[in-house]
Amino acid sequence: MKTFVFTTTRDNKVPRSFFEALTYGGSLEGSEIIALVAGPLSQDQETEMQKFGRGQIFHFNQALPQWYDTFYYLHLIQSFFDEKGEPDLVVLGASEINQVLGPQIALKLSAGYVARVISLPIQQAPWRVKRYAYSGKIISHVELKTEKAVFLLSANVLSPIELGAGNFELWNALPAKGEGVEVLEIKRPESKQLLTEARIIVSGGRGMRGPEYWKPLEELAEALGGATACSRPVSDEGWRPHHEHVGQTGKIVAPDLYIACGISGAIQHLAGISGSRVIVAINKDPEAPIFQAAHYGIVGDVHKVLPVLVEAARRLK
Amino acid sequence: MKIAVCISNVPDTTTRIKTDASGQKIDLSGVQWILNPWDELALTRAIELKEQNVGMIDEIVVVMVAPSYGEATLRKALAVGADRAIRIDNDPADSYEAAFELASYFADQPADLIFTGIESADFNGSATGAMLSLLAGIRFMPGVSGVFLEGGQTIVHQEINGMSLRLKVSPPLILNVQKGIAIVPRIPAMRGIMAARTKPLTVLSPKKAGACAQVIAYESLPPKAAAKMIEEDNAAMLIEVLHNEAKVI
Ligand SMILES: Cc1cc2nc3c(=O)[nH]c(=O)nc-3n(C[C@H](O)[C@H](O)[C@H](O)COP(=O)(O)OP(=O)(O)OC[C@H]3O[C@@H](n4cnc5c(N)ncnc54)[C@H](O)[C@@H]3O)c2cc1C
Repeated sequence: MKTFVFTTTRDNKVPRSFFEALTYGGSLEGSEIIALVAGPLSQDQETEMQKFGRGQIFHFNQALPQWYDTFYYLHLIQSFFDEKGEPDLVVLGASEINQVLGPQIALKLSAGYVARVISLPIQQAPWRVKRYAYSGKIISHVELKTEKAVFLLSANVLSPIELGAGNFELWNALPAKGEGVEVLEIKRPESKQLLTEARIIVSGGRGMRGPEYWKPLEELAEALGGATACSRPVSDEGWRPHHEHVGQTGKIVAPDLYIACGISGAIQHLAGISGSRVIVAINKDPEAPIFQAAHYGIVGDVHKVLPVLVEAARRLK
Repeated sequence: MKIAVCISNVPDTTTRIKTDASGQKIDLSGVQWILNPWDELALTRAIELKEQNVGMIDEIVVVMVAPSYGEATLRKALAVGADRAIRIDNDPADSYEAAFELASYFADQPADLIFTGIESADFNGSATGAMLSLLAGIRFMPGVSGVFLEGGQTIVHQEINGMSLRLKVSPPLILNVQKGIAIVPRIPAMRGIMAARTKPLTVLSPKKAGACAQVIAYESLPPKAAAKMIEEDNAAMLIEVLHNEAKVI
């Protein structure tokens, strides 16, 4: 069985989700990995690739389009399939780009598509996997009617395992760009870490009282090497930028640690954080629903607690 | 110019989701149905565009693939400001089946801008827009957080993978909308509700391509132990526990 894994690079790095997908694909019986990494990479990334790699990993070492050109990526992947043969299974790590490509690759391969997969297959013929449904409120078992499958994994459902069995080589193709799009402006948000990939997130809600009180929250995130996020009303009010909004209608995150400061824990907020390994709640209301979802909690005033945490976190380093 | 908004009919986001006695189906009794939140924001933006660009947009059509119980939600979309509604009479089991019905519809009834939501709040498949684009052969714009019209051209704000871009592109387009497309969803006013009663709602028979995937069982989330509480006066302990016990920092 030929298993295809794909990722784009960002800031000359391979996202962790790629290694999660490699580990997933490599755990299946009879699976032979053939992977494609598109975009420039820094030197140290090749060492990473050797460490976590398996199977054959090909590197398409060209600058990627500035905008998200689906035509470009589909063409690239099709060229790859034309040369290396079509896969039986595609495993994609959680990323916004794979979320768009997955369904289209599935159509190209006449494969069934499952997003937000949270388990290794329960069985392989026919394919059967578990996934979240209803925004994380229930787990469904999905069976495919097709021979081929495309799985988009949920973030952080397994830890990459070092194998050091990968073969890494360059691969080139003539790219084709989608015509008729003019890029007027490009901006990058100040934070370098993508929320969807952050291992640690410190998040603030309406209980923070106002944008002028965010400093200790940012300091805690910095001391822990994490990213900052917020609840929906906070971004709707313009206290924080939109890309920080976490929840059902914002970003779905799955860090190792999510610290919720002054967030009540509405069901739509929880929908965005339920994949987190450890949730910490700091809230002055002991009845706040966030404590039901949390693993650790402090009933208290964020304005008092945060500075203490910042100091303790700095001491730890 | 014609705008179409694809609408999914989903349980209210606060609904407690449980299975029926068979364990293989969601118990839908007593569920309150709503417009999928992103689709609601997309519709809001479509109406804003129509209001802001007087005379430019001929009509806003809302399209839903759903059984008859989806009609109440379509009526709500009409009350909010859509001009007419289409229901394709199928209960799709996966994104492919929904995308196929939509693609067949748009092949017959093209639109200049087609809005799809980034995800539906029920199956969270996040695939319908991307599949529709490939099936219909219409350019796909993912991660759309803003859309504006400027002299026959469409200005699209795209936020994806940590990049934020402003693009100029000409229709036809499928705009897969996310956060930011509109902030506050429109709610129907009394006049809108009255008007919706007489706006056309057309039911079309499905093409029934068949699904590629099906849910065969449901499983509840594993139970979670109660949170370990730390005293406010002893807050620094939290950092220690996260380091030594949870080992996440
Ligand atoms: C369709 C739909 C989609 C939605 N999607 C999202 C979403 O994606 N993400 C999202 O977050 N919300 C979403 N919401 C909104 C959601 O229902 C809640 O309204 C929102 O999450 C509440 O935000 P909050 O916790 O910041 O504020 P609040 O609910 O107001 O909670 C503030 C909390 O802060 C605590 N607090 C106050 N002062 C202090 C203090 N000094 N110290 C400690 N604690 C303090 C309070 O006890 C309270 O628990 C959605 C709603 C709908 C209807």
